[in-house]
Amino acid sequence: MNIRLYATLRPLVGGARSVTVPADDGESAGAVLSRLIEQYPALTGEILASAGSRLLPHVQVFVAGRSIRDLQGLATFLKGTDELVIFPPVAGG
Amino acid sequence: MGLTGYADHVARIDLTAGSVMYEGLNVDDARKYVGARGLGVKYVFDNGPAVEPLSPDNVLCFVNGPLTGSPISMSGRLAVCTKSPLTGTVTDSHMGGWSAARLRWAGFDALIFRGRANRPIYALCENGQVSLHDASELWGLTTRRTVQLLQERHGGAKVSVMAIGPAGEHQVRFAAIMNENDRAAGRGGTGCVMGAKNLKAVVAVGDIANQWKPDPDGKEDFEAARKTGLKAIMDGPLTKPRKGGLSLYGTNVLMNIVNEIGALPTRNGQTTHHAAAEAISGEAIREQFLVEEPTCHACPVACKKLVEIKEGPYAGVRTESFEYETAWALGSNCDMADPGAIAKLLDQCNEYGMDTIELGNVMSMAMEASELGVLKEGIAWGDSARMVQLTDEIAHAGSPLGQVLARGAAGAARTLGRPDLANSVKGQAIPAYDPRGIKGIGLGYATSNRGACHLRGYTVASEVAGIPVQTDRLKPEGKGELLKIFQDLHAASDSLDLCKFSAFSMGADEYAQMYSAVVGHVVSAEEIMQIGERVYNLERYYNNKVGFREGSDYLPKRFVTEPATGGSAGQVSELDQMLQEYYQVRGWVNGVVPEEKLKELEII
Repeated sequence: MNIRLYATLRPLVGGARSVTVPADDGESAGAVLSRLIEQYPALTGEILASAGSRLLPHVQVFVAGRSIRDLQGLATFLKGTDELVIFPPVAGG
Repeated sequence: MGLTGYADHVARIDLTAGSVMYEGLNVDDARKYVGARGLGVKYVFDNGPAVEPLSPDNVLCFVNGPLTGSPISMSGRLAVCTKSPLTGTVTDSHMGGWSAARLRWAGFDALIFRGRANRPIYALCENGQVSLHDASELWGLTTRRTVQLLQERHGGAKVSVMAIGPAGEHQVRFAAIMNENDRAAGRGGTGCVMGAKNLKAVVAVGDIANQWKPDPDGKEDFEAARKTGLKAIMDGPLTKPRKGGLSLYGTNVLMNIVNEIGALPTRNGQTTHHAAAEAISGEAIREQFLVEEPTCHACPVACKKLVEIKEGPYAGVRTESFEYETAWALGSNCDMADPGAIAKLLDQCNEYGMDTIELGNVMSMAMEASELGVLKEGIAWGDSARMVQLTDEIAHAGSPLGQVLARGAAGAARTLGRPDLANSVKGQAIPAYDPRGIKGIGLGYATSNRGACHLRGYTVASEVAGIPVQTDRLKPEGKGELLKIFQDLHAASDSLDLCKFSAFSMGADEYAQMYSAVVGHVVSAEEIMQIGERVYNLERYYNNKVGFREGSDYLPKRFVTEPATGGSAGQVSELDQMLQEYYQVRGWVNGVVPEEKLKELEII
């Protein structure tokens, strides 16, 4: 699955704008995110709280423009063709 | 209460007579409206609603808050309040940098200008005194040249200059007031009012040695409050210096996320996603163009981003700050993604003194009008060279088209016979969030007391960033109540006057602690929110008196009829539904403040 990352997360994956992690049809967002962190340990503590139980405050993970917080959170099921998009806490004005 | 924490010193400057009167603060007004935006709006209110914005009768108020210039973090701000020539509403426009702090250190809570000088003048504020000086040789100069000459004349390092450029002199309706740090009182045309008064600049000479300090009895509380605010900023995931997104990338860290969710107005709002937006995002700018990261008085965040263009037709342009709003307005909104061209246009706006948001909307409106054949010999989508040329013509009234566009997006669209092409509310154009993709902010545009604005009630914090709690950006339900909370909170912080970005790490509890420590008596978080509500209702009451009543809270038709694209595909704004809820929680009747609400809030 293709995963795009932004802002402070990019330096933690070697400066890449996107990375690929293995994912099966019907897997949860939480499972895919945990696999991403296994693949890029520098992301530990940047996306998920300890033990992968929840998203860290203000981190946003989007599927087709929708935040998984507005869907089923980490339990949101993904299709193999989905793309995940991850932002660290960002705001401005 | 007494007036601990204030300078208790206001100058009323009659520019027609060339005279200055001094007075203390009205104690009751200071209690009810605090300072900056609140007190400034009260000064405008007391001047009456019938005044013509560009007449000598209008007032132009530079107002500090009780926290301005103190050691409290993010306290380097003042409000410029007047009746807007762009909207006809009351408006307040804030600027950072050091000018607000230096005005306070020069001994002032507020300067209230009225009348019109018979020749260009500038006001020098030093040691609690205001003197007026001839500015004939400064008239026509850009803001940076004006700043340079006045700083050299009045002593350099301790001198702040708030000046207009050619745009204010030529009565561009969205002219801004700029200071020496390229910070702008950008929105609402405060620079246009300043130009109409023949007031080229306000110079504040102030030494930090004059900074307000608590007396020994209050020192402990003040230190505790200062540390509370500082800790919140230092620990906040968004504001954390050198680590948080706002600190590292500036406000333009928003470009990619807003584009991702399909809420980036593109081609004058024809679509809500811009395929090339990444090229002008905060990430791209930091990587390729960033040269310095300046900050404001008492702010460790340093969100300002100074860029330098090294190659291409705009090589050599060095300017700040490459904000999200600017990048969007002059970039995606105009179907353009050339960072060099955006930097050039930003630099022009800084030099000429113009609001980048309104200018971008003027351009995109003209581009759509040209596409439709409404505007002959106009401007094509993304034609950055023509944008640069037109910006010159607007600022200097240098061509018939430039003079039309100088009226702002709404005024120019009316002149062209197509008012529907302007994405404006009450005469002021929208900022960088599409109402179809972020429902609460659309309600905010419609109900803002100064025309379309994101800074009146920044529900984006909740709807996109999850601050303080996440709300579903696409659901209209609950947005009336959410917006009221943000509007009241911001009206309070604008009156203190703290940077809006403090709200990413603080709330009413922290504001209450800091305000209490400065004024020397306990003010609760609930009272802070009530102060904000009072200020918001005073503004609305003024606008009601001007004639903004039922039907004045609206969105451009495009946002309620034409579906969004990208991550918000198919969405439109459910404005009517949200308005009903909003009026209910506000206690208003179709946008009008009833007498009982005015009494409840001690406004009458």
